[in-house]
Amino acid sequence: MSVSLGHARRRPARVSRAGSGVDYERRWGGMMLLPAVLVIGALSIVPLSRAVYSSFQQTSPLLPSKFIGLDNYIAVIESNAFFTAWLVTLKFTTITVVLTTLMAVISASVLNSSFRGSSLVKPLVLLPWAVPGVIAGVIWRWMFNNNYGAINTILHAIGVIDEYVYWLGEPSLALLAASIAQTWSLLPLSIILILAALQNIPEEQYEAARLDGANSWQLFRYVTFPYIRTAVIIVALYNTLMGLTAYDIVYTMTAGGPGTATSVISYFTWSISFTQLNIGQGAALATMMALVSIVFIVGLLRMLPKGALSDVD
Amino acid sequence: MPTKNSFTALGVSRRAFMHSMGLLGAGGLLAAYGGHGSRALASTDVNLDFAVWTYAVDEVESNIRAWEAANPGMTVTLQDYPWDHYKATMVQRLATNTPTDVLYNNSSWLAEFVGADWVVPISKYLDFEKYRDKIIPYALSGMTYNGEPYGLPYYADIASFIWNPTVAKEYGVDRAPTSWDEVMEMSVSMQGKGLRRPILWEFSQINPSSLDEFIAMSMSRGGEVFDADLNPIFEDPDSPAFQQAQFMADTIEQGLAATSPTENDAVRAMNSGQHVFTCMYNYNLAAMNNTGQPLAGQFKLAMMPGSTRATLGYVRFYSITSMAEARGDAVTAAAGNFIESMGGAPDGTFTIPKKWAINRGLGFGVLPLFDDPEVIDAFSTWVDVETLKEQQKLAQTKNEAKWTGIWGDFMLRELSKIFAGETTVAESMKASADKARELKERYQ
Repeated sequence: MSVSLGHARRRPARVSRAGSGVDYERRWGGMMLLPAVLVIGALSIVPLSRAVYSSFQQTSPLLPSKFIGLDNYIAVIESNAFFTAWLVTLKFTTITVVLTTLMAVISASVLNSSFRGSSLVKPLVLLPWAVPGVIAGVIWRWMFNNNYGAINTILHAIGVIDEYVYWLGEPSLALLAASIAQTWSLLPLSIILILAALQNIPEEQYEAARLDGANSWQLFRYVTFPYIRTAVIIVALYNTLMGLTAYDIVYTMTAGGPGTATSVISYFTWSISFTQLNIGQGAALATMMALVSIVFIVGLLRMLPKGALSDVD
Repeated sequence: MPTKNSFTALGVSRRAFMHSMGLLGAGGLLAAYGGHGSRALASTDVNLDFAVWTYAVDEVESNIRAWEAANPGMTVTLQDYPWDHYKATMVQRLATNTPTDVLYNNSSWLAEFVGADWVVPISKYLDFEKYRDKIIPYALSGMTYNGEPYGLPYYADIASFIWNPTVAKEYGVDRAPTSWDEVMEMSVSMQGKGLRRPILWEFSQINPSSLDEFIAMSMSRGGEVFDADLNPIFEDPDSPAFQQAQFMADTIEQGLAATSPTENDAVRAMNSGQHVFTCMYNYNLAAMNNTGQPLAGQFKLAMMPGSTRATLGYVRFYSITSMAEARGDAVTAAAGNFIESMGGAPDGTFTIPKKWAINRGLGFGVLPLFDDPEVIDAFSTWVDVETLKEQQKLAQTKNEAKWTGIWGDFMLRELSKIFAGETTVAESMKASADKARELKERYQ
């Protein structure tokens, strides 16, 4: 069973093997799902419930726990850092989603064509996927180092810059640098998804369009894009969620700085919980973050063509 | 219409991919089994879970293996975390009861860790009194809370003013500055002659060293950040800490100073020849002058600029956790023995502190090593020992309470905002003072 990423298509309801086939399938289907539901319940729902519970408590290793109602929510909303962190998160997410999606479409299009060395390049595309976010953060911190980073060295060597750029010390550059690192990390999966969709486009569609006199842009707009639209939306959805919950790359690369320039909401949540030892407020923030993420997910899912995520055999 | 999935799209078959993943998974399982296996072998004996920050891990492991060899049946599982993430990681580890028996501790967090009931007095598990008189006063003070000692020193050191006279001379400066005004004047002069950023601050908003170095420099101006009753005293624009924050902000704003987030980065940056002045933990001078570095031998210790020339003295130490205590007498006995071997002198000599001093230039928390000829010889290769002794005499400790570690993290963020130009020094000092008062009221 796989998920269709190409054109949505309707298909007739499956004919059951027996009169009560639908009920039989539902019953067995439910049972087959049970292990997954139990695992998800144990690993997601229980911690989530615990976080929601903690968000209504005074929770700190240095103080006794007690119920404090909405105080944690009020305290974090009233703090200046809360809105700053959301603003930074939205900027970071927007940059990474736009960059990743565009680069994924372009890269996938290139990879979809035949060229010399493509069999070598394709596996290499996967490489960043194999690098954990924490390691990616460290690598990119070194790359952007203002004294001995590879980026300054290369840009200086080819004459693009006269003096080394203070990438991680300047607020706007630090956000851009973190966004580039996040894009690098997200790109492989995005390319794979779009490439898979591209490879489902029948060549006859292009031939027919060319016969009708379509130029390159029209080929993309009227042939390619409709086929990859679902994949692009899924890529955007995934990258939006990754942007909203980004933590590891920021943590190791900039530690939220300089100032609050890269203090995304996940980092702010971690900081309140484990440096300020206010786990209750951290839980309140995490709960709010989950709610906002759900809003984004629902919004993006509504953009999908009807039936786009239906199963195909 | 042919349907290709994500794997075939890349020319990788699903079978090959799953096979690779299966191998990786099996490898992980084997690794995990191996880890448990080693613990199971020691089930009748004792295994200690030891958490450290990442520094010379190979040497730590060598010390551990030596202890294990000397104590059959005892094993140690070592886990290390980067220094700038260590405290937050330990909070998570200890708050979630992740097995931890012995850990590296820091005077800045001691009160907090005691308040959370995460560490226990060391005197319960080793004869601390035989060491009390041998420990440097600021180290003893840093390991003590409410009159109880909580460890033996891993090392004790000071924050130092380090400079590069060779590069300075190239740009017309031929002596170390004696005041912060001189640091500014010399830096402006060197910048005018082409040295872009003569000053380097080791600064990151999650690096605890950055706060220690800021406080050390404030001490050199004649003050700390809290009074004896832990009231904040840095809101006043004439206060040493306010002035130091303003000084650092000015150097960054005027493009005289660069920042490096960690000490490793800072040591490399100093060795790039692009900076002359910095303030760092003293042992970094040994790292800068290490023969493997490009500019080895060029870096010198100078007395801290400022009216008092004072600096911060600090201690890092081995502590036993309350989790170890809960595991029973065998574990606490092993932990006490292990800590004495690492930080004490079980056979009359401080073998491992001496090793750290000779091999890595780490300061020591015990007085007898000051007169050890081997240590003096080793230190002489990278630092002027007389200047070091003079500076050490002026070392002071910070006033700490169980909320000051939390405040420290907040203060670092405020300093970061100042340096990024988001706030003024006055705004951030006020915010930090308000935070200190709020925390004091909340936790005391």
